[in-house]
Amino acid sequence: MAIATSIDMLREPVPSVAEERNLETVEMTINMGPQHPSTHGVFRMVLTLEGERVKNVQSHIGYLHRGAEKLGESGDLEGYRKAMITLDRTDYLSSLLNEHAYVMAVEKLAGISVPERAEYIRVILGEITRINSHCMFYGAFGADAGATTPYMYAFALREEIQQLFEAVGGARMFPNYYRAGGLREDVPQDFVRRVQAIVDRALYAFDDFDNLITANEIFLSRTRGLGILDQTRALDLGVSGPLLRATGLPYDVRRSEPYSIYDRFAFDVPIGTTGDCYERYLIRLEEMRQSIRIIEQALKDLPAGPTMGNAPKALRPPKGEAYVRIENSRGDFGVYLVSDGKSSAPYRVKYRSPCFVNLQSLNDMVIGTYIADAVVALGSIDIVLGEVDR
Amino acid sequence: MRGVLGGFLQTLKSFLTKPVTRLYPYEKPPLEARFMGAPSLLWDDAVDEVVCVACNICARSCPDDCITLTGDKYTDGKTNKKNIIKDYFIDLGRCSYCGICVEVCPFDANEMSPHFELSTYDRMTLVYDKDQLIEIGRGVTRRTGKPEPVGPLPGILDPSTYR
Ligand code: SF4
Ligand code: SF4
Repeated sequence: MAIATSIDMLREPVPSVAEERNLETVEMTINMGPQHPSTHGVFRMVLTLEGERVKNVQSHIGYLHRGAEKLGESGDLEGYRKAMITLDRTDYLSSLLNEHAYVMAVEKLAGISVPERAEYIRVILGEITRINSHCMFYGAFGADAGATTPYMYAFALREEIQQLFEAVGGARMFPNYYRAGGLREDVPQDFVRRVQAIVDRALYAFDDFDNLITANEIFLSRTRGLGILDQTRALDLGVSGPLLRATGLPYDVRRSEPYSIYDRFAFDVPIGTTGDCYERYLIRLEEMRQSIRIIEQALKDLPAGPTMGNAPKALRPPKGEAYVRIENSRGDFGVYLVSDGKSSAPYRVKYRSPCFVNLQSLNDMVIGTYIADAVVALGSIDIVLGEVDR
Repeated sequence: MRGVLGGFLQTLKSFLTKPVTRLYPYEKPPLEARFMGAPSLLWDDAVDEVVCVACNICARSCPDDCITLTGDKYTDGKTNKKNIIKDYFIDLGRCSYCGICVEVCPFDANEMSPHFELSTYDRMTLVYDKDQLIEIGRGVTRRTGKPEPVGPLPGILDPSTYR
């Protein structure tokens, strides 16, 4: 390199090493995953890079395929209960929401009615599960954007929520608590008091979440304007959940096609305008607050009474099919069940998983950004690989 | 700059509150009354033998096929059961702690025990036989339908720790 001998020479543009030696940039292929901490499970991205820019991305899924749907069709006894065990483990962060969809599908298939109290408890626990799942997003997204502290705050709250699940259903992650026709057993006596304590604590924790990174300039510059997905493209891809709402479309299954008793509660559907990563983050934070609103209303009206309807002990629904969809924490989750009318296990089980569909928007978000931002964009989709691969 | 400072203030605030971390192996977490650990076999103290009648319903209902059992003709005459278990194995490495085996048992012969610490260097030690299952079931009673005692709020839910 030339050494500046006069002030004029300093003003001249200094040729870069590449220019001086006549070097060309060549494409480089980087393999990210499957065992990479920021791919949220075992997901593999093959990134083609030009310098720091992503030129193309190819996703490889299937590492966590366990055949949950096929396993749900097996078993000579209690087949309808067995299917829920594997369903719980697909989207391990919103297990109770998915259980809700599944039992609703079985109830539709077999024509079973559910007592009021069970419906209310399902809504309360479902919304708590949504908060639990969004907490995980908050922690992981902070880590993707370069801050590990959010994890600590998110997990302090998650710990308490999981303790509640343990008190109610016996297990912290997979309570396996709902049954076709109601609940396995009534909630513990101090349920209302404990949920109220979680509500108070959660509202306090959300303010902490906000104080910690929402206005942080570094976080803003890492997420704002990144991974923009416009509304038409999002609809073309079939994207749902916070990803779709960030593009400005107030589509929420709880509102547009109310299931269970969601039509009785007042809550807002937060929407964004630009559809970037930061808005997805804001929407999820706001959704947690709206969930609290629903829980408070449900706690106020929680009726007494039985928690199990007149469901037969050995389920053998008549021949037919049922499709039920709900809004789980990632989007539009659907369960399709076919019964052949003879066996005690479903003839066909199919899950419509929002993660799998939402993940398709990755290419639109990532191509053209820096490689470090690809991690943030992937984090903003909030995938659970168990549900993508099933 | 304001946003970054806000984050620092938040960290400082948390620094001044009580830590919520539990040093797990030294400090055991409080277990809820409904906690589902490993499934166990119950012992009938009145006649001093297992309750199980080897009907095989739990093994057929288990989603993970982790229960294997064989029965024997029951000849003692202390109770009116026809069969009694000879062998009963649960592969706890495959068990998903779902509690279905307990729910379907028509004879109230098993229950989820609070036993959950299963770390081991040898996978085969996770296959629990009849005696081990009875051992972890000692002191466990069928809980179904009984209301739990109401205790103090656990962990960080006590407002005095975070306000
Ligand atoms: S708890 Fe579930 S997986 Fe474990 S032995 Fe019982 S039925 Fe099988
Ligand atoms: S534990 Fe219960 S269901 Fe299983 S074999 Fe014994 S009596 Fe039958």
